[in-house]
Amino acid sequence: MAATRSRKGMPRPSNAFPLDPDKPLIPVDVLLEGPQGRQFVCMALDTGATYTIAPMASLLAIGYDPATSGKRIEFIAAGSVEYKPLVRVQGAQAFGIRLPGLEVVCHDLPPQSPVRDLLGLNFLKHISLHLDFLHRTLTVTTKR
Amino acid sequence: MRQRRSQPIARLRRRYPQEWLLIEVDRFDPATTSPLTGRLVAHSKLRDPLEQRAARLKKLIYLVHGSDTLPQGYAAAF
Repeated sequence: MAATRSRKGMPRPSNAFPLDPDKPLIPVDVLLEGPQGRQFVCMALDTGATYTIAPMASLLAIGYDPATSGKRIEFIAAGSVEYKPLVRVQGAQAFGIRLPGLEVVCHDLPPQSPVRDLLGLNFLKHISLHLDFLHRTLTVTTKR
Repeated sequence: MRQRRSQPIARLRRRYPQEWLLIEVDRFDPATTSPLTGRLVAHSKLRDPLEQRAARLKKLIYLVHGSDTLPQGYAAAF
Protein backbone atom coordinates (compact mmCIF):
# COMPACT_ATOMS: atom_id res chain seq x y z
CA MET A 1 0.00 0.00 0.00
CA ALA A 2 1.36 3.42 -0.95
CA ALA A 3 2.28 5.75 1.88
CA THR A 4 0.39 9.02 2.11
CA ARG A 5 2.22 12.36 2.01
CA SER A 6 2.48 14.90 4.79
CA ARG A 7 2.22 18.65 4.16
CA LYS A 8 5.99 18.88 3.86
CA GLY A 9 5.98 16.22 1.16
CA MET A 10 7.58 13.56 3.31
CA PRO A 11 5.91 10.18 3.40
CA ARG A 12 4.21 9.52 6.72
CA PRO A 13 4.79 6.20 8.44
CA SER A 14 1.80 4.02 7.64
CA ASN A 15 0.85 0.44 8.17
CA ALA A 16 -1.88 -1.55 6.46
CA PHE A 17 -3.70 -4.37 8.25
CA PRO A 18 -6.23 -6.88 6.96
CA LEU A 19 -9.82 -5.93 7.74
CA ASP A 20 -12.47 -8.63 7.57
CA PRO A 21 -15.96 -7.14 7.15
CA ASP A 22 -17.49 -10.52 7.89
CA LYS A 23 -16.20 -10.52 11.47
CA PRO A 24 -18.61 -9.17 14.11
CA LEU A 25 -15.94 -6.80 15.46
CA ILE A 26 -12.46 -5.48 14.64
CA PRO A 27 -9.90 -7.29 16.82
CA VAL A 28 -6.64 -5.50 17.66
CA ASP A 29 -3.68 -6.86 19.60
CA VAL A 30 -2.67 -4.43 22.33
CA LEU A 31 0.47 -4.69 24.46
CA LEU A 32 -0.02 -3.22 27.94
CA GLU A 33 3.13 -2.29 29.89
CA GLY A 34 3.51 -1.93 33.64
CA PRO A 35 6.19 -1.86 36.33
CA GLN A 36 6.16 -5.67 36.65
CA GLY A 37 5.80 -6.77 33.05
CA ARG A 38 3.80 -6.68 29.85
CA GLN A 39 0.76 -8.56 28.56
CA PHE A 40 -0.93 -8.83 25.21
CA VAL A 41 -4.67 -8.25 25.26
CA CYS A 42 -6.89 -8.81 22.25
CA MET A 43 -9.27 -5.83 22.14
CA ALA A 44 -12.02 -4.63 19.84
CA LEU A 45 -11.43 -1.34 18.08
CA ASP A 46 -14.20 0.86 19.51
CA THR A 47 -14.69 4.47 18.43
CA GLY A 48 -17.68 4.54 20.80
CA ALA A 49 -15.48 4.05 23.88
CA THR A 50 -14.05 7.21 25.47
CA TYR A 51 -11.29 5.27 27.17
CA THR A 52 -9.36 2.11 26.45
CA ILE A 53 -10.71 -0.62 28.71
CA ALA A 54 -8.34 -3.21 30.21
CA PRO A 55 -9.00 -6.47 32.08
CA MET A 56 -8.38 -6.70 35.83
CA ALA A 57 -6.19 -9.82 35.48
CA SER A 58 -3.86 -8.15 32.98
CA LEU A 59 -3.49 -5.02 35.11
CA LEU A 60 -2.70 -7.14 38.17
CA ALA A 61 -0.12 -9.15 36.21
CA ILE A 62 1.77 -6.09 34.99
CA GLY A 63 1.93 -4.54 38.44
CA TYR A 64 -1.21 -2.51 39.12
CA ASP A 65 -3.93 -3.07 41.69
CA PRO A 66 -7.03 -1.35 40.35
CA ALA A 67 -8.82 -1.94 43.66
CA THR A 68 -6.44 0.51 45.34
CA SER A 69 -6.33 2.96 42.46
CA GLY A 70 -7.19 6.38 43.82
CA LYS A 71 -8.86 7.52 40.62
CA ARG A 72 -12.30 6.33 39.59
CA ILE A 73 -14.65 7.27 36.83
CA GLU A 74 -18.37 7.00 36.15
CA PHE A 75 -18.46 4.56 33.29
CA ILE A 76 -21.51 4.58 31.03
CA ALA A 77 -21.82 1.12 29.49
CA ALA A 78 -24.61 -0.18 27.29
CA GLY A 79 -27.52 -0.32 29.73
CA SER A 80 -25.80 0.74 32.95
CA VAL A 81 -23.66 3.33 34.73
CA GLU A 82 -20.84 1.91 36.84
CA TYR A 83 -18.06 3.35 38.97
CA LYS A 84 -14.74 1.95 37.68
CA PRO A 85 -11.04 2.33 38.56
CA LEU A 86 -8.92 4.39 36.19
CA VAL A 87 -5.26 3.29 35.94
CA ARG A 88 -2.43 5.04 34.13
CA VAL A 89 -0.25 2.29 32.59
CA GLN A 90 3.38 2.83 31.68
CA GLY A 91 2.59 2.32 28.03
CA ALA A 92 0.21 0.78 25.54
CA GLN A 93 1.13 -0.41 22.06
CA ALA A 94 -1.11 -1.20 19.12
CA PHE A 95 -0.58 -1.10 15.34
CA GLY A 96 3.14 -0.73 16.08
CA ILE A 97 2.55 2.56 17.90
CA ARG A 98 3.42 3.07 21.56
CA LEU A 99 1.68 5.62 23.73
CA PRO A 100 3.31 6.24 27.12
CA GLY A 101 1.15 6.91 30.18
CA LEU A 102 -2.20 5.86 28.74
CA GLU A 103 -5.14 5.90 31.16
CA VAL A 104 -7.26 2.76 31.01
CA VAL A 105 -10.53 1.88 32.72
CA CYS A 106 -10.44 -1.45 34.55
CA HIS A 107 -13.43 -3.49 33.42
CA ASP A 108 -13.89 -7.06 32.20
CA LEU A 109 -16.13 -7.83 29.25
CA PRO A 110 -18.41 -10.86 29.66
CA PRO A 111 -16.74 -14.19 28.79
CA GLN A 112 -19.03 -14.64 25.78
CA SER A 113 -17.06 -11.87 24.08
CA PRO A 114 -14.22 -13.18 21.87
CA VAL A 115 -12.16 -10.09 22.76
CA ARG A 116 -11.17 -9.27 26.31
CA ASP A 117 -11.59 -5.51 26.13
CA LEU A 118 -11.77 -2.34 24.04
CA LEU A 119 -9.27 -0.03 22.34
CA GLY A 120 -10.94 3.34 22.77
CA LEU A 121 -10.68 6.93 21.63
CA ASN A 122 -7.99 7.98 24.10
CA PHE A 123 -5.62 5.77 22.04
CA LEU A 124 -7.20 6.16 18.61
CA LYS A 125 -7.17 9.98 18.68
CA HIS A 126 -3.36 9.87 18.38
CA ILE A 127 -3.40 8.15 14.98
CA SER A 128 -5.02 8.53 11.59
CA LEU A 129 -7.20 5.50 11.06
CA HIS A 130 -8.76 4.56 7.73
CA LEU A 131 -11.25 1.70 7.67
CA ASP A 132 -11.73 0.60 4.08
CA PHE A 133 -14.22 -2.25 4.29
CA LEU A 134 -14.62 -2.46 0.52
CA HIS A 135 -10.91 -3.16 0.06
CA ARG A 136 -10.64 -5.08 3.34
CA THR A 137 -7.84 -2.86 4.62
CA LEU A 138 -7.29 -0.91 7.81
CA THR A 139 -4.58 1.72 7.40
CA VAL A 140 -2.87 3.47 10.28
CA THR A 141 -0.87 6.62 9.71
CA THR A 142 0.99 8.59 12.36
CA LYS A 143 2.41 12.07 12.59
CA ARG A 144 6.07 12.21 11.70
CA MET B 1 7.51 -31.16 33.35
CA ARG B 2 7.67 -31.27 29.57
CA GLN B 3 8.48 -27.96 27.92
CA ARG B 4 5.87 -27.18 25.29
CA ARG B 5 7.30 -26.20 21.93
CA SER B 6 6.96 -22.79 20.40
CA GLN B 7 4.37 -22.63 17.62
CA PRO B 8 2.77 -19.96 15.44
CA ILE B 9 -0.08 -18.41 17.41
CA ALA B 10 -2.35 -18.50 14.36
CA ARG B 11 -1.91 -22.28 14.26
CA LEU B 12 -2.74 -22.62 17.97
CA ARG B 13 -5.90 -20.57 17.51
CA ARG B 14 -6.99 -22.67 14.55
CA ARG B 15 -6.48 -25.83 16.59
CA TYR B 16 -8.75 -24.64 19.43
CA PRO B 17 -11.38 -22.44 17.72
CA GLN B 18 -13.93 -22.80 20.55
CA GLU B 19 -11.58 -22.29 23.50
CA TRP B 20 -9.59 -19.66 25.35
CA LEU B 21 -5.81 -20.07 25.04
CA LEU B 22 -3.17 -18.94 27.52
CA ILE B 23 0.03 -18.47 25.52
CA GLU B 24 3.52 -17.49 26.59
CA VAL B 25 4.69 -15.30 23.70
CA ASP B 26 8.30 -15.71 22.62
CA ARG B 27 8.26 -13.64 19.44
CA PHE B 28 6.21 -10.67 18.30
CA ASP B 29 6.41 -8.10 15.53
CA PRO B 30 7.02 -4.67 17.08
CA ALA B 31 6.14 -2.98 13.76
CA THR B 32 2.54 -4.23 14.03
CA THR B 33 2.33 -5.22 17.74
CA SER B 34 1.32 -8.71 16.64
CA PRO B 35 2.26 -11.76 18.72
CA LEU B 36 3.72 -14.31 16.30
CA THR B 37 4.85 -17.43 18.13
CA GLY B 38 4.51 -18.83 21.61
CA ARG B 39 4.10 -21.79 23.91
CA LEU B 40 0.63 -22.93 24.86
CA VAL B 41 0.41 -22.88 28.66
CA ALA B 42 -3.24 -23.93 28.98
CA HIS B 43 -6.53 -23.97 27.10
CA SER B 44 -10.11 -24.06 28.33
CA LYS B 45 -13.67 -23.37 27.30
CA LEU B 46 -13.90 -21.16 30.40
CA ARG B 47 -12.05 -17.85 30.51
CA ASP B 48 -12.06 -17.28 34.28
CA PRO B 49 -9.57 -20.00 35.31
CA LEU B 50 -7.14 -18.81 32.66
CA GLU B 51 -7.64 -15.18 33.76
CA GLN B 52 -6.63 -16.14 37.30
CA ARG B 53 -3.58 -17.95 35.99
CA ALA B 54 -2.67 -15.06 33.69
CA ALA B 55 -2.78 -12.65 36.62
CA ARG B 56 -0.03 -14.66 38.36
CA LEU B 57 2.28 -15.12 35.40
CA LYS B 58 5.03 -12.58 34.94
CA LYS B 59 6.09 -13.63 31.43
CA LEU B 60 4.83 -12.07 28.22
CA ILE B 61 1.35 -13.59 28.17
CA TYR B 62 -1.40 -13.55 25.59
CA LEU B 63 -4.84 -14.76 26.68
CA VAL B 64 -6.89 -15.01 23.52
CA HIS B 65 -9.93 -16.83 22.19
CA GLY B 66 -9.40 -19.26 19.33
CA SER B 67 -11.93 -17.44 17.19
CA ASP B 68 -12.83 -13.79 16.57
CA THR B 69 -16.49 -14.61 16.11
CA LEU B 70 -19.30 -14.30 18.64
CA PRO B 71 -21.18 -17.38 19.81
CA GLN B 72 -24.22 -18.34 17.74
CA GLY B 73 -27.12 -16.00 18.48
CA TYR B 74 -25.00 -13.20 20.00
CA ALA B 75 -24.32 -9.67 18.75
CA ALA B 76 -22.08 -7.06 20.39
CA ALA B 77 -22.78 -3.41 21.30
CA PHE B 78 -19.98 -2.10 23.49
